[in-house]
Amino acid sequence: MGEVPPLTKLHEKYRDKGFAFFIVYVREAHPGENFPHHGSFEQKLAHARQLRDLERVKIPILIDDLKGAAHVAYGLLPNMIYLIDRDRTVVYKSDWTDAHELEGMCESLVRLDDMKARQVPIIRKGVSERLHWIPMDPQHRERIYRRSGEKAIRDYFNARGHLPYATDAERDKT
Amino acid sequence: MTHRTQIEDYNYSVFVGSEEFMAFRTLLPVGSSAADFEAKLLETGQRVQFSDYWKKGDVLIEFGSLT
Repeated sequence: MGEVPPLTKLHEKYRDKGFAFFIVYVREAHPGENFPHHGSFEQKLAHARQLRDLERVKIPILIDDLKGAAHVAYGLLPNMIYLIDRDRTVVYKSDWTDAHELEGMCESLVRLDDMKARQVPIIRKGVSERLHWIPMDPQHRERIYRRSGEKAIRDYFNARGHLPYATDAERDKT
Repeated sequence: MTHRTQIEDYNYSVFVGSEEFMAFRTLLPVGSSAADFEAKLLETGQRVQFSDYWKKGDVLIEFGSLT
């Protein structure tokens, strides 16, 4: 999954401002010798515990069922993120965690509460769509794949034709 | 498709890179109502309903796994 520390910082900043943060534990995106695909719910639970302990995750973890009901309903990507407001509305979604952008979204909801409290008239709910570029830490990515095992790296290479922790420049060479 | 096959298809043993980005982009667009689901809370082992959380406040969920 994406890097936990930036999300943890946001969790600490916003949990007292009416936000609840969760990690939804889903299938292994890159199963390897050390952490193979899930064959039982107990195994999935054990992997989630290991994630919590290895990455010192402070954010509560929800375990999806073995068929991935929640994962399927939200779009099946391995590191996607959603922000849902108290009216059940999806106010933000991203295919990868971008802590900088997320902080802006959380601030936007805090601002909305403030506007409502001050009875500031709101013209409309605006919708925007954008591409954003998220920096990659190759060392972090390599650590995650090595944790899963050589098989995970091999499978990724077979699927994509480059190592999972290759930088843009390295990919261009292949 | 049988229950067992569904589970095996979802929990693939080999990554082949067939992530469906278009499905993500079209499902639950911004402005739509979030999907409810049941899950187990790791901390307590209790089964919880996701909707119970958004009724109390804004909720952020990140999907992920060890690998």
